[in-house]
Amino acid sequence: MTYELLYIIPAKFTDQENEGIISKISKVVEKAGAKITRNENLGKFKLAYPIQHARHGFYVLVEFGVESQAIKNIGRELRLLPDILRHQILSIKAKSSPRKEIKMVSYEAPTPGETPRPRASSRTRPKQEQRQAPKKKIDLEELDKKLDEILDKDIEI
Amino acid sequence: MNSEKKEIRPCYFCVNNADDIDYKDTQLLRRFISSYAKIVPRKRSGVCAKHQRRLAQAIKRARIMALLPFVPK
Repeated sequence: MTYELLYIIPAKFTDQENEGIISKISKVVEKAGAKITRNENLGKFKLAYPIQHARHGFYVLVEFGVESQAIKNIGRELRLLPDILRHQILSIKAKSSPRKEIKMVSYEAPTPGETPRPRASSRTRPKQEQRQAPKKKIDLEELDKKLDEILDKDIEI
Repeated sequence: MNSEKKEIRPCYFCVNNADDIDYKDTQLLRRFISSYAKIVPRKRSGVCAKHQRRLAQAIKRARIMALLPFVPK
């Protein structure tokens, strides 16, 4: 099974200490018999809410393959480490291998001036108006043709 | 009330052929939470039942990882 681990390192550490923590955690994962396929520091983000008085954190994403029984142990060991704020392990489907890269963005609270999104129902309405518009045009053209025909007939008489 | 029911709203995830919703995709998830940081109901966002379940799960995961807030500031 392939798994994906995301964890947060508080931003209070120096770059060197960060690297130390990252290697420490990859050791924890490898100790359980896992093969790491990806180990990437996604960068520094502002947390949506402070965790243990930390407002910013580095997010690190690790992808690895391991037997499912080992996940429990990895999770337990990560929970005991004081260096990371949170972690989350999820299994990822192997069949969706061409996974799209997503850009993570830290949460910004909406400003009071920001207008609320329109309701889904009102968003669909303009489409219907567009559909009706061309009909009217055709009607006008047909009317013109009919008028011309009538006028032509009148002249003949 | 009635007009709302009549409208056919295609589900965003069905249209984009997205089966799995990644909890790390905060830009996408943000569109489905209200200004009070609540998960937007299906009635309002037009998401189908299948994807609403997955979306809710993804938003909750993102909240745990401090990518989205539990409560507004």
